[in-house]
Amino acid sequence: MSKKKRIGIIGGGISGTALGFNLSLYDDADVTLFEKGRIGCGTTAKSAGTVCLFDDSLNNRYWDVRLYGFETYLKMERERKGSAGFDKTGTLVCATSEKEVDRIKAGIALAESAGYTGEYITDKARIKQILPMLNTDTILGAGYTADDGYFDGTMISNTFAQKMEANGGTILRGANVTEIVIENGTAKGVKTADGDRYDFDVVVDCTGPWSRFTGEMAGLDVPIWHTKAEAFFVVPPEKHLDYVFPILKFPAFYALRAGNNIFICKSHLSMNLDDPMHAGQWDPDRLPEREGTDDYFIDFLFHQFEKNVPGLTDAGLNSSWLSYRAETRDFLPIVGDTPVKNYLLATGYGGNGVIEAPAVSRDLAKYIMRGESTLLLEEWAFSRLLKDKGE
Amino acid sequence: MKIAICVKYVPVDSKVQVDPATHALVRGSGAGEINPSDRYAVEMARRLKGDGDTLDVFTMGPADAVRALKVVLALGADHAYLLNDKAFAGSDTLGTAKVLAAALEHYGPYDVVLMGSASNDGATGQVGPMTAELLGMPDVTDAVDLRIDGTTASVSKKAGDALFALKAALPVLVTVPFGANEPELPTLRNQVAANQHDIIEVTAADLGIDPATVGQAGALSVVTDTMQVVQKKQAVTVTGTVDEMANKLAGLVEGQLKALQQGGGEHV
Amino acid sequence: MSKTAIFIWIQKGRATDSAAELAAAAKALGEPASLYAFGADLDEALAADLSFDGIDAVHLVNTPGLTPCQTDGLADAAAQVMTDDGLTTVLLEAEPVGRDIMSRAAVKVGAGMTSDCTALEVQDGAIRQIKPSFGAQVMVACAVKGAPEIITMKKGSYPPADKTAAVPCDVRTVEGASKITCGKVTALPSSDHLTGADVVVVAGKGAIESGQFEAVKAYADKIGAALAGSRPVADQGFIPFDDQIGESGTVIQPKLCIIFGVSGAIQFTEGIKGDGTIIAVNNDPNAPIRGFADVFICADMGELLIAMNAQD
Repeated sequence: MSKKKRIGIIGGGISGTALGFNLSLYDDADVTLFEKGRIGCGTTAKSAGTVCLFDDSLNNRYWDVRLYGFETYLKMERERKGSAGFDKTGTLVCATSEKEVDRIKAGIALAESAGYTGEYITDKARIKQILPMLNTDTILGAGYTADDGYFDGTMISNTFAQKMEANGGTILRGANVTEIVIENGTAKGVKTADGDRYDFDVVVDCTGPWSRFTGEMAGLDVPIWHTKAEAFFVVPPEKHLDYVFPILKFPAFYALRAGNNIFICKSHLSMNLDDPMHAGQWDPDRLPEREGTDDYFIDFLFHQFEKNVPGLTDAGLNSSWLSYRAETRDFLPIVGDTPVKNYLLATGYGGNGVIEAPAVSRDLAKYIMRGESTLLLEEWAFSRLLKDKGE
Repeated sequence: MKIAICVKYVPVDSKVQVDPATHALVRGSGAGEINPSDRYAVEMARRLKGDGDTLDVFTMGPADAVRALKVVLALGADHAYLLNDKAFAGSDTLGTAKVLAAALEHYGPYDVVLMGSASNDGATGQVGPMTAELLGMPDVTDAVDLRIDGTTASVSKKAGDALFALKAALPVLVTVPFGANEPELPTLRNQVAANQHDIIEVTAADLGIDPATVGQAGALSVVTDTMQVVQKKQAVTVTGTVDEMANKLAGLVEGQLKALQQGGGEHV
Repeated sequence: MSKTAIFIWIQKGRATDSAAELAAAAKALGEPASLYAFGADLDEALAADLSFDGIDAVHLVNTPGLTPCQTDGLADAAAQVMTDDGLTTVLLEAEPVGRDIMSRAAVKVGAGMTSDCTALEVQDGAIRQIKPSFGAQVMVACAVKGAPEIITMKKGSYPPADKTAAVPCDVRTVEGASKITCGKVTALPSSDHLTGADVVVVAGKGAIESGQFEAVKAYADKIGAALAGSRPVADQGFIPFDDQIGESGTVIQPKLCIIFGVSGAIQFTEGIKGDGTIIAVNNDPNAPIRGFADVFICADMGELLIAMNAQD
């Protein structure tokens, strides 16, 4: 009888719980997940959770990743209503350049290929019907689908966690990993703040913005930066909108409804890793519970809205928050092997953890259990960043 | 009419730890926000303010506290004063009241002074009445409605589960509890403008305050020690049969409801 | 020489139960204290009700024409008594009336004032005043420099002292001037909006899934609480979005909050502030709400609500 493979996962956000669930589907996997706080309550809780069929958050090259994530959550939601927190608002992606028009149209073709609806609209009156507060003069047109919307990262993480436990996986809540046991350049296990040691065949770091610190414990320099995800909840002047506010995507920001309010955030691709206002190395444990946004962000939003969404310039500022995204130089995640043997990463999802975690975790679980890699894992391997560094 | 509102910039993080060596409080982040009950006082001030009235906002605190002032500016305040001096640091409630009273006298006189009923961090509820006493004004705490008629303020005060209709001669100081009204929010447009607004920085010398009478030096009530409560917040878990649990829950709720009804509802 | 006193304010001719607790707190200081009861038309018969272990004299202070709303006038009276009798330490209950009056009196007599203490200790001749801070994560010890000092004590900090035979009692009259006049008293309309409500019942996703929303609502009505919900409950139209608790909705500061079937994600818990009592009912023993609640009941809410709603 073959011995089970023991895998330790650090971090109970979207990355760790998705991987834990996928590993728990192998009967020869013995999975233990360490979460120092509560499941899905770190930076995952501050994710907007948009999974749109054809926005610009993830290049069309990886369209299958997007589709797999979207359909995973649709099925989850169908299984038990609310378990993925789906709000089917549809998405309006505004094009401000010909290049974006092309990208959106390709996205629509891909969505239709998968059986979803989507259309590129140039009739400004129709666009205004979908979102009356928009200024359509500044855009060339907009891609629209009614089929997608946003999910809730915390609920998804908890659903994955439940499924993982139902499959026999172990979740240690309130367990803070303080040491990664490395012997002869190989990860052997972890120690927690309580002083307990756990032995593993493979340790996977799924700690997102904490990966710098977790990596240090393994003697590894994890090349991620923190970009600020500054978000506001605003109350539209009408207080109660009499239409469904869709996910609204502009190159520099996005907006979605949150109850009667509207959540707005700067898009992750508009962040400049070399701008100290945008990016740096910070301590996610010191993130404030609320607030913490910069005045420049208010100015930025005002100017964006003045130009594009005049209906929100007189919106009330209800609350704000700051989160850190774990971003790599190429804005794609780091998945799989590292220079430290048996110490793997599933981190650096940036703003796309909710979108990318299902496909990545599916492939990574198979790689851990069977040693079979995939094209996706090869493209998002740690080694690509080592090569970049050498140039 | 001249209306003043005093606000406090409080830390947003509810988690604190005690540094084992220095016994100083360590907080998760430096982020702060305007004290929640102050927002209701601001709303009361906003509703009170008519044509020709002025509304000035004061806060005592470090440079970061301008963020609280900017929120009130976005909601219609005319002047914003940051009372910031090394000498003010470490003030007890009386010291804070002395600084606020000196500023209100210096830039006043004001007909109505408003504050939140209590801060979310210190939560003593003492600064309002103390400031009123220093200014020789009557005070009404926990007011949920305020109207001015000539030289008289009509105030509706919440105590326990009753409302008291009071009248006070102006000038008056009124404190406003959390949930007293439905505050307007600063709009994005107004906040952008308010962020550019002048903030008037005020020191002890500007107010003629003897540094020995305020701050750490003047504090009569001092913290001598802080201790971490070792036990993590752990819920008391109720177990038993359904009926046993229902009875326990009912007992708990009844006890709490009774305490609430007694919370000052029997005055007068 | 130290002189410790307990201050209470008599309403409707009755003593509140705070006197017995304050007597026990005074006793912890090791010296007998005298009790001062302020009110209108106080009768010497009251002394018998106010004689507790630890109290050596009862002083009834009549403040003619003043009601507890006239805090400026009552502060005059309190300060005069403190000065006349040379009081060095005054204990009172941490409640709105006494706090308002004695904050003003503290200014008049130059006293240091601490608030919401739960324990008193004598250390090197000074009173160490201990209070929980930051939602009881930290205990803070305070002291007052010099004299006099005014200390408010949180209700329930000391078990009430035993009654004793009536101690000596005197009655005096102290005047105070007030710029406040009191008018009508009306019952507070029951929670006209959620944010100001003292008691809130919250329904979560679990309440909808188990078909118990109506039972939760009935329970809220039964105890006179405002009803609120978590985001999924609002999303599915069970409650208006205005009554949705959380980061993206309404922030409340209830004194008592009873939560049914909420997992306790941070977006939700961010919507409940203050140090009110939180009771959570959930059938998942690992639900994150457990870490947020003061009291956790792991139960099927359906059965529990049937039992709760059936009670008298």
